[in-house]
Order: sequence, then C-alpha cells, then structure tokens
Amino acid sequence: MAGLRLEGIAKSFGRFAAVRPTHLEIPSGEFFAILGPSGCGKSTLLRMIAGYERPDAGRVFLGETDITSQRPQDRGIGMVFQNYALFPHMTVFENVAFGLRARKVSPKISNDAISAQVAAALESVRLSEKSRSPVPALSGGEQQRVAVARALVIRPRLLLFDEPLSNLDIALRLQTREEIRMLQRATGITTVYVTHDQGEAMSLADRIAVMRAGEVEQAGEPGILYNSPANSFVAEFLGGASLIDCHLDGAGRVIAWNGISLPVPAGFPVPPPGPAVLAIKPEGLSFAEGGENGVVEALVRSREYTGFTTAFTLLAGDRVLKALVVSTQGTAGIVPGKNVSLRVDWRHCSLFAARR
Amino acid sequence: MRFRSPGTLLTITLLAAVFGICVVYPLGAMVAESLHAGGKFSLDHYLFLFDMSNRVNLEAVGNSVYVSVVSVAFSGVIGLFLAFVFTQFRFPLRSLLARLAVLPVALPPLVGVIAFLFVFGETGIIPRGLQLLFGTAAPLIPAGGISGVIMVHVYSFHVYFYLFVSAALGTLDGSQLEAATGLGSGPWRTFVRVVLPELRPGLLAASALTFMSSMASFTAPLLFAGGKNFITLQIYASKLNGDIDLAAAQSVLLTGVSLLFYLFLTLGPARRSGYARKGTGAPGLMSPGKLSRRVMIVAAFTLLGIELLPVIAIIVLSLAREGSWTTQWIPSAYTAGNYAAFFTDAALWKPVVNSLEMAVLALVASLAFGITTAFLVSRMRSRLAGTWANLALTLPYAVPGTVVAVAFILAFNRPVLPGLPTLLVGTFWILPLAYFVREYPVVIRSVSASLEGMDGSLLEAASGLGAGPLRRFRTVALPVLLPGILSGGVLVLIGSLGEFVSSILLYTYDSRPVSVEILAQLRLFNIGAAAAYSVILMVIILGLLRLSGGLLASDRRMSYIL
Repeated sequence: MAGLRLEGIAKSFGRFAAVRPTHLEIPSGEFFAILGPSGCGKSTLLRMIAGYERPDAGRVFLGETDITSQRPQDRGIGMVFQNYALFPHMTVFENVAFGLRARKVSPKISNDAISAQVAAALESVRLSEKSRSPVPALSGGEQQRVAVARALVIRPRLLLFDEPLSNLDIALRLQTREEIRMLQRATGITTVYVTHDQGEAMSLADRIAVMRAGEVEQAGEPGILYNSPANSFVAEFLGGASLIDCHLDGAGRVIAWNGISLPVPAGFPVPPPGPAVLAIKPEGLSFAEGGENGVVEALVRSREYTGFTTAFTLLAGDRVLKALVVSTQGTAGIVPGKNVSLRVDWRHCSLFAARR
Repeated sequence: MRFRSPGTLLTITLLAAVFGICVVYPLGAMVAESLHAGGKFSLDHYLFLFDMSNRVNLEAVGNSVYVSVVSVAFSGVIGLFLAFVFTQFRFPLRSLLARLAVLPVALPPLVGVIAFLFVFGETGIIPRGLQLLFGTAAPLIPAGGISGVIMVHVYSFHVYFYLFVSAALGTLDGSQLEAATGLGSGPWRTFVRVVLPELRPGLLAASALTFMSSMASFTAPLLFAGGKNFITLQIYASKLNGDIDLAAAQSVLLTGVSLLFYLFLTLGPARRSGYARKGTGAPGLMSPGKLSRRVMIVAAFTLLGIELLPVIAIIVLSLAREGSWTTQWIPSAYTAGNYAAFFTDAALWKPVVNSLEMAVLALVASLAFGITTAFLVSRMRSRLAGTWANLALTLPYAVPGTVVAVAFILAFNRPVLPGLPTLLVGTFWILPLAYFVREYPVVIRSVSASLEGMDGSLLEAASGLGAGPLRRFRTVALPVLLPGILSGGVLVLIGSLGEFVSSILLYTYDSRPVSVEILAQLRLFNIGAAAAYSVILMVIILGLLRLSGGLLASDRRMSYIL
C-alpha cells in the first residue's frame, strides 16, 4: 500500500491548459474523489497518475518512488475505465487473468496460482459462476464488476476509477457504489475516484478535491466542503447553492441587490466591501409571515413536489433562488405566481467576494 | 406470407425473370454443357481435367492455387504493415499518403497490369535502368513468370488487407490498450493478445477476398505468365480452340472454388460480436522506439513509392513518341501527339464512347434491379430467409469474369426460348448484360447495408408525424439510403468502364471497350497510344471516385466491396 503525491503536475493540449499545476497529497489507504464538471481536467489528471498521459511539468510519487517517467505497465496501478475496456474476445476468467499473466515476475506464477487468484477476485465481486462466460454475454453491471475484479487481482498499489458508474442505471449505481466502498475498506488500497456526481463523491470518499477549469478549487473532507465551501463554485457544485450577485456595504453589515436589502448577522464571516456573491443552499430558505425582519420578498415561479420535500424556484428581484422545504411545513398554498416572504437561515449561507 | 399488392407481385415476377434469364440460365447452361459429350450425359470433360497422363489442367490448377496462397501471404504482410504505420504514427503528408495507398485497387485490372509490366516487366523501366547502371548484357531482375504474377497480385490485393486492418485499427477501443498496458502488458504482448484478436475477422476476410481474386485473376497471367499455365488461361485457350465444353468444365471447377470462399466471406468472419465499443482509435500507444519508428516510416514511404511508380510510368509513357522506347530505359523522345490525335481523329474516341455507353446501360440496369431487390429482401419476414436470399442474389459476385463470359457464350448463342429471335452473342448487347450481371451485386450490397443501418423507428416517427408512404420514402428513406446508392452506383460504373476479363471473350469489333483497345494497341507496340487510353480511363475513374467522396475510404464502403 502506498500514498500518492502530486507535485505541481500540469498538462496542456495545444494551447488548452487541461490541468494547471496541481499539488495533492493522498495518504496510504485513503479513498479520494476528484469531482468536477465535464472538461474540468479530472480525467486528464487521473490519466497522468496512471501513466497514459505524460505531464508537461511536475512529478508523481507513489510511496517514496518517483513514477513520473515510468511506463504504465511498470507502475502496478489498477484502473477501472468508464466503458470498462474489457477484452471482448476473452472470457471473464481470461480478462481477469490477463494482468497476472502479463506480469514480469520470476518465477512465473503457476497456472494453479492464477486460477486461485482469479477465482478469489471473482468471488469478491460475486461473479464466480460467470467465470467461463464471454464478456459480451454479461449485463452492464456484471461487466463493471469484471472490470473491478481485473483491476484488483493484480494487487495494485493504487486503484483508479474513471467515472465507473456512469453507464449504469440509477438503482444499480447506488448498489455498486456501496460495493465499491466495501471492497476498498476490505482491501485498504489507496483509491482515486473520478466523478461528476457530487452525491457519489460525498458518499464514497474520505476526502474530495473539487476541480474547475484545470484547477483544484478546494480539497477536504466532504462535510467541510459542504459546510464551509471555499468559494461560490464549490458552494454551487457541491451544495447546490443558489448564487446571488449582490453588493456588500462599507460596514459589512448589509447586502443589497435590485433594491432588496438583507442584514448580515453579527459575526458572520464577510469578504471586503463591494461586489459580492451570496450562496444560499436550498435548505437555507423557508417560508415566513410577511413583515418579519430580515426576510426576502420573492415570486414563486415553479414547484416540484417529490414527496417528503418540495422544491421551489423563486425570483427575488431578477435573481433566481432555489428552495427545498419539507412538504408538510405549510407549502400547500404556495403555487406559481404567488408572492412570498423567505426567511434566510445563515447557517446554510456563505458570502464571497465577486469573482473577477 | 403477408398480403402483397398486385403491383408488388408483378415486380417480384419481373425481378425473378431477370434473375432467371441473366444468372440462373447461363450458369445452368454451362453446368449442363460441361456434363455433355457427344450429345449425351457424360463425365468425360471432368475426367479429362483430372487425367494423370495429360497434366496440363492439373498443373494449371496447381499454379493458380500456389500463386493465390503466396499472394495472400505477401499481401497480408505488406497490407498489415502499411495499415499499422498509417494508423499508429503521425508524420507529414500522412492523410494524403494514406489515401494514395489504396490507388492500386482503383486501377482497372488491365491498366494496373500493363503499368506494372512497363515498370518491372522484362523490358520494363527498372530492369532496363539497372542494366544500364551496371552495364550487364540483359535487363536485371525482371519480373515475370510465376513470381511476376504474384508481384502483380500483391501490388493490387495488399490494399484489401490495408483497408480491412486500417478500419479495424480505427475502431479499436483505445481504453482496451490502456487497460492492457496498465495491467503490466508490454507492447508486443498487447499487440498479440489484444490487438490481433480484434483484427482477426478483417484479416480472414481480406485473405478470402485475395484468394478469390487471385484464383479468378486472368489479366496478370495473360500478360505476365510467360508460358506458365493458369486455370483462367486454360479456359480462355479452350474457348479459342473451339472446345467450349471443356471450357465449361474448367469454369465449373473454378467457380466451385470461388463460391466456397464467397460463402466463407459472407457467412463467416466479418460478422462481429455485439460488444459495445467506443471506437476512438488508439494512436501512439503501440508506438515502438524512436529508431524502429523511423525505419518503419521510411519503409512505408518506399513501398508507397513502388506503388506509385506504375501510375507515374504510364503517364510518362503516354507522352512517348511511338517507336522511341525500344532498348532505352525510358523513351528517348516525347510528344503530346498521343493525346492530340484524339482531337483530330474522332474514331479514336470510339472505344471510350463504347465503354461509357455500355457502363451507363449496366448502371441503369443494376440500380433498377439492385435497389428494388434490396427493398424486397429487406421486407422479408424471416431474417434467415433474407440472408439466404441476399446471398443467392449476390452470387454472381463470386463468379470469375472468365466464367461469366463462357456461360454467356453457351447460353446466348441461341434463342433463350424456342421461337424468340434473340441472338445476343456477337451483338452490342452482350457486353452491357455481362457487366450488369457482374456488377449489380454491389448495388444490392450497398443498398442492403444502408437499409440495415437505417433505424426502423425513423420511418415510424415519420408516419406518426403524418407523412404518407411516398413522403416517407422521399424525405426520410431516400436521404438515408442515398450515400449507399451513390457509392454502389459509382462502383458499378468503375467496374464496367475498365472491365476486361469478360470483354475479351465477348466483344465485337464495333462495340470493343477501352480495355480491349488498350490490349490491341499494346500488341501493335503502340505503347504511347495504349498508355494514353489508360490515362484517359484512369482520369475518368478518379473523377468518379471523387464524386462519390473519396477512395473507398470508410469502413462502410468496405462492406460494399465485399
């Protein structure tokens, strides 16, 4: 088992900077997720770790070894691809055995040992009985598990996942997510997991790095990222927060937009006065009686009933707000076209200086 | 059987009549003839073929098989190598050269062979040049005999391998190679265990196609064999000797071999598993070291150079003054006269016009027959029946040109039915009919492929949106099928324009096609004129290819050649 350290690795394709100089330290045994929208450079980062892309700058350390210039086949890293990349002309068994046979170890692993290890790996993903099946005969979920077994069987020092669940339907995705987490716990292999699904990242990872435009915006434990986002992008991407461009007064006590003003509670961390962004998570808004202090007047644009909660889209001035309210808490009469007062729970808010 | 309208029934009857008269009847007549001697049933002709005391025929079959096997081997190595270099490496002019690499299959058979003859033949440019260079008494390393025929085959047929392998490499899933590498597999192991299995269907298909084409090859043996016997030449000789029954028996033998490979081709390896692939291609991952990379690129350039030499030579020779190329390595005097003559002597255009006329006739017939047939077959309920119907209908594709000619001679030298005045042999109509029979399968294949590729829900969506049958066909089906129809049609034109193998047995002087005229000029040692005709033919064909959008470039169009 080994930790992973990235020291300023960067990669450009032509004039497009896919990954800007990035530092990350992932301790041994950690489950680390890289989260970001498509095109943010997360897959490129992963492929540099695996050795499929050569970084333009920086170094990659696995344990204490500098592997930056090592060939992929010499790194001993297991990877699960988005489309699984199984070899269609081989059976499940042969796919999983491939990595064991390809290994340049002496003495060569005996066939019996290979069979035993493959059987164990297939057992761990509950596919023992499919060992002789041709790959195309498997369902998507089964193919995914073969890919995991194939990556695990070589006892990798590091396990990489590139959006492994994106080709599965939602029920299977939740189930497989749990299985991956359990396998990782059981084996204790350091894992880097790339995804664009924040729910997946939060539920799986010990720590998350949120990426945007080739840069890590914030890295840390899911709870910290969720509760104390470092900037408006993290607040929006991870917490689903509504972003409101506003103006913070000189004293740092009141924000205003479109003639609407809202007092900031004492002791709330504020940026320097001037243009600012207020991030409100959907659960930070609730409906209030009119005339209450510190409320925002808004117009209901749409409502989406999902059972336990109801989601509202509202307009405050020309800013769009999203609110998520427990359905039983007086949402019955709140329909599109109605004017309402919104109470702001500042525990679910963050205030940032406006991005240039 | 579902209800069919009277119109549909009439169409089916018409198509069946065409197929019966043009395909079944001639081939049947040929088989019947081969089983007759002296007016009654007999196996004499076949016994004669395998007569141990007169080994000419056995020897011919042996030579044909030997040449075919060796052609497959060498074509495979060269085609695989070129495909590998062109898909895996990036270097200047790559895409242009990749397109030039398929030029040899676009050349009409006769033009390709005589161009090759001019460059590598006994009195060709290279052997003469080497003679001059080293001061030897005779031209050095001329191509001829068995090895000459093999060289011509490899020159033309390695392109099949090149196309199939490039297509397979192009749709290879890059992440599969990455996965193999990540699991600790080196380049060689990855190639053998992961890439090669993916190429296997393509390699098998190309092998079968090359073998079939080599067995059926007539032009190369005719001009290059130097006295060696081949089965196609035997058929030709038997016909010229007036021994048409023997020619029929020989034809049946050759057709049997061809059909075997055709069945293998269509029912066998090319059918792929349904495993979803992303098909990004995987350039660069297989890359070997820098030095071996350079060596391979240089080797590929050299091969391409050799490939282009015949084309360049034929252009140069078309500018040669007649009689200026006897013992020199290249002609000593040049003139535009070979072309200028076309503007002063309208009669020179006669063969070109003949070929164009006959090709257009074949095209119209092929499109009409091919498109309707493909539609009807696609509407058959049972998939299996559809497959077999398609196979039966496209069967003439597997019949060598020499055999088609022999069958036509046997079938159409008398009225098809007693009382009818039709006497096709010796008339203008026999050649367009032969071209039609040889080329229409291409249209069926291309249209069927488009039909298969067409999502059935498209038409359902259109009808749901209120479009009637005619509107659906015009606005939805036709635009989707048009590329298939177009490239099928262009292939028919190209095949007919340069057709030589059937023509040489069936032509009449008044309707002689360009290919026959080229051979005639060559026999008169009018090399300049022969080359000029060849260049004109080449220009027309390249123009047509441009029209259809590229040189058999895509994976899709591959299935039409097949």
